[in-house]
Amino acid sequence: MVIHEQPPQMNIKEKVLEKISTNELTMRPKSYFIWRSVTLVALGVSVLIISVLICDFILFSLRINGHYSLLGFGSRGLWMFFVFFPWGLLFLDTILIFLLERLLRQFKFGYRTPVLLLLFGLLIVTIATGFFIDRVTDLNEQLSLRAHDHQLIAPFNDYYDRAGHPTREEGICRCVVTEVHNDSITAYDESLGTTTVFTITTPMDENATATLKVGDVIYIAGDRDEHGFRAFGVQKLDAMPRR
Amino acid sequence: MDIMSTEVTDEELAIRVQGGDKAAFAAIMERFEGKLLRYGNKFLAEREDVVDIVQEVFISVYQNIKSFDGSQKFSPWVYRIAHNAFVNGLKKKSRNPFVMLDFDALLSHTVSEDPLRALREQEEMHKMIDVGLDQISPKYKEILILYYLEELPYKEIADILQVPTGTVGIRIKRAREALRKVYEKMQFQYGDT
Repeated sequence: MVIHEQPPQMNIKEKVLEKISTNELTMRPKSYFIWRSVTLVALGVSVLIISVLICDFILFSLRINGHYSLLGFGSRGLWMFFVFFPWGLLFLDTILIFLLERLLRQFKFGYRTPVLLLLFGLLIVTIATGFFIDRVTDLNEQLSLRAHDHQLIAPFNDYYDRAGHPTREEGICRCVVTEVHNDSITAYDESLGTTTVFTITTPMDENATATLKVGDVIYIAGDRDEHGFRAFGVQKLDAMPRR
Repeated sequence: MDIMSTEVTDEELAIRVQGGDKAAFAAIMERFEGKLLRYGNKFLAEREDVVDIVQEVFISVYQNIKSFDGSQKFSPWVYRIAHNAFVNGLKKKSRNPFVMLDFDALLSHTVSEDPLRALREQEEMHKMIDVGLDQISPKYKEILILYYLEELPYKEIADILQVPTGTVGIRIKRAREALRKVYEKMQFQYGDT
């Protein structure tokens, strides 16, 4: 007896056609795919905007605190810059950029671009846009003012309000000059909201205080001792954040 | 025009299915069943699994047919669905068959497609694929199936695997080398016995 094995192709086709004829299997409507694409695009744009705003905030907090000055204060300054850098936000931003890269891979132009090129492009776009917002617009200053009056939603109030309040205990101070002497200056820390006045010595460079005048906003890095604050770097800042 | 006729393109059939023509979908299944079964059989050892997955692929094709853009080629679109289904099938069978980070897709590669070389190598590659395909990694296995057995061009393979076209070229090159090594090793072993 010859056993004829039924070709599997017939089974597949018949089963699928049966599901279609009994309406067990139906086509998804065009609107389903349109909404899916719109959702995907909206999600991508949202992730990009959040990523840009985080990058903008990182740049703003470094600028408003004067932490950029640390880069010119030698190896100790570099180390302090490393310590004060908001690594948590950078980590969050990196995750968002990787997420954005994954989302873009859903589109033809995304998967046809090499991964590193796409990541590098996203990084450039995020940093450049963040830099533009921070340096060209006054968005951060406006948000900072609103945060001061607690007009933003909870986490942003804290972020923006804290951004402009470095403490002396951390070895840095953003102060207003009240007196200038040959090898020291007297200033007070406005961000603490007190009238405490302390003296700063600048042994590394006698000319460090030469260009300073009363009322200047300065960024100082150094160590506290019994005589006051021994600075290893002083830099004049443009202005305090508007309050 | 008879929809079973080869003069009717896959894309025309797909557009007819979008309009509700069930016979056109039957014709699509006729055209792709054999190809997908062959593609799947190279991926998975169990024939029953392959038949089930091919059925799932057709179900998915029908469900999502309205997302197909009629101005594009239909074949890569079907193979993309099949690729996802077979990779999922393979994941169920083994641990981590495909790595998340694809080093081949990280950088840009300038590899040009050479159909004449493919034609010259066709017989040799078929022989090596028959013997050594199961011995190489799924990533390389799949690209050799698509290029040498399904005879798809780089651009279509790139759309199926969703990788840059240059990555297809470099991966085929590496897959060929991997297969050649396996083949030579096996020949050596059989030669000894």
